[in-house]
Amino acid sequence: MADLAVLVPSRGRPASVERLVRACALTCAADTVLHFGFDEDDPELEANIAAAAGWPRTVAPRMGLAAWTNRLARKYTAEGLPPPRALASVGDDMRPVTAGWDRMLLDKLPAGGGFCYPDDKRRDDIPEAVVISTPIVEALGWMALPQCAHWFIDNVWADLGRAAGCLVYCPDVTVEHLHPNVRPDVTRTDQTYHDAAGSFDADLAAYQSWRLRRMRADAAVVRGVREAAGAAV
Amino acid sequence: MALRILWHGPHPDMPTGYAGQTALLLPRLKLLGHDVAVSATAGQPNHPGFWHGIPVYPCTTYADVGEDVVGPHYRHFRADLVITLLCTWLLSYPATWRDLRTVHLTPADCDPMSWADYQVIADTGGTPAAISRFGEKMMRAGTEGRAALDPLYLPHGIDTKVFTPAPDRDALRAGMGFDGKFMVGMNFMNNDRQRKNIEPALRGFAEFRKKHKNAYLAIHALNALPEGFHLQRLGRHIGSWDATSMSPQYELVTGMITPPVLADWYRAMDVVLDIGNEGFGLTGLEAQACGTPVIRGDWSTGPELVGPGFLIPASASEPYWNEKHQADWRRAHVAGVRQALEEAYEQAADRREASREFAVTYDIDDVVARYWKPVLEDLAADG
Repeated sequence: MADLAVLVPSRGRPASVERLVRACALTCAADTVLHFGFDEDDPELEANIAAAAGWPRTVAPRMGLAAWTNRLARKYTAEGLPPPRALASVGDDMRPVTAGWDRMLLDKLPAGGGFCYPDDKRRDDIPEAVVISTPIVEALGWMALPQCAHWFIDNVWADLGRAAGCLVYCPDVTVEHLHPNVRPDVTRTDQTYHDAAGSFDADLAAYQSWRLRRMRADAAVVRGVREAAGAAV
Repeated sequence: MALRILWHGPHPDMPTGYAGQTALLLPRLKLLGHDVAVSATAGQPNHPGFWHGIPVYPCTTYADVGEDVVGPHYRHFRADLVITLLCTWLLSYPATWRDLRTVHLTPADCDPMSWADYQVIADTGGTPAAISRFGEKMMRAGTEGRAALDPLYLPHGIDTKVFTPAPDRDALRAGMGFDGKFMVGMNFMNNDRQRKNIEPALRGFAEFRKKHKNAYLAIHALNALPEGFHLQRLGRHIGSWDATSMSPQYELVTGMITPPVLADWYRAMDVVLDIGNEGFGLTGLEAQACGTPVIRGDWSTGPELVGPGFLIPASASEPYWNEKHQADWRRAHVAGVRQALEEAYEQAADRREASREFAVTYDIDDVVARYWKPVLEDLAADG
């Protein structure tokens, strides 16, 4: 059983996949698995598979980030792959920098479970990359808010972690987000970014609706996981 | 199931539109079975209190609109929900709201919706609630960089048991010295020089009066405030001051003019001129409930609240840009105001009954039953 499964949906970016694989090879210290999700209609599918360098991958009809993240998470929570201690969401446009970043984030997970996130050099108020205790994902039934396609799933992690008192920011761990907004020298806006932008309106409405109608119940689920594990909540 | 609702708005006794809505709504939300408390944005600094048995948590003198204490109030009251009622764009600390379950009652008065309002709504994670159909439309539009929102609809309302037609209007007018006069009323907070179209309204009246010497203007507003007009100076300049009567200033500034007294003022008017770019437009609706038709503009909430009154067409106005809100308001043409007054001069007397009938569709009890009750029940069921 792995310590950590890093879930990485990706489309049309074999170079980014390769960069992430290399960075993880250089920096991972725990028993960490990279698990990629590729759209079956991705023109770069073969190149993506090659870039994944033998790490597990799932190929399926095209989905958004949230749906892909949940699809990959279910592999470990419901579909027979051994559940690791935690699941991570790391974008294909991210690059782990700190040696042992995975071990450090796992070690900082609160007793009883929680959400832990690194400094991504872009935002420190929400976890754009996150490590989540697997029992929390199992209890919620999802890892990324299913009503959202792409946006605000990181806000949801922050909201749940804060509401349940188990959100930990690790400024000493760097997983750099090479988003074109902050690193145009490294990453150029591509079709995948463009496509994702199209769901912003609907995702904002879904996020606001979740905060108003479901957040308290979901936070109670997270607290329940922690209570069951004996954490003081 | 009951909710514990923290109402982040002004103290209910303040003489403002927001406070008036607060005073109308909170007792009725209690009657629905919910527990309510006020988190004061103004009107009660630095000490707690009660209003009609409802706890009032204070704002402080150390931050604007109570944002420094609303989070602790939420926890102290063990609230399930906080509802904000103020100009949403005044909120400056999004992080405060991210920990709260929030509904922003957001007046929208410009086209597209205010960028500043939108930013607060997006950054706080709160759910917007439109108070007018115009606002709802603007929020759903999703134009010019704003995402299309999915707001609740929770309109304002008025107390049509207080604002009623006069049993003997002739006697009332005679007592006020209005016999034989065509009375044009304006009721506004004199803290704005643009949005409310005060200057075009006054100039339009001045033009109208050149032809109708029996026309008089009654202004229910403070004569001078720093962010508004010096109404006497402006009135003298445009030649309308000799035909203008101001509400008693001391009683107005001290909040002594109660709704029943204000209702008499509305009853005595022949028409109320209310042509601002409004988030809702309570004063015109109060006038209509008293049987007095209104003049509104074909912009913001004007078309939905004009009822059987008089609408200045959009063609008799022009857009003007507000940088803060990155949106247009509309400025009425003086000729458009004058023309609407001409129509009112001829027809207002025939539209009094229909005005009342229109206004009662916004009766606060009806608004609560039709809109607030199902939304709150829904939210209570969502836990």
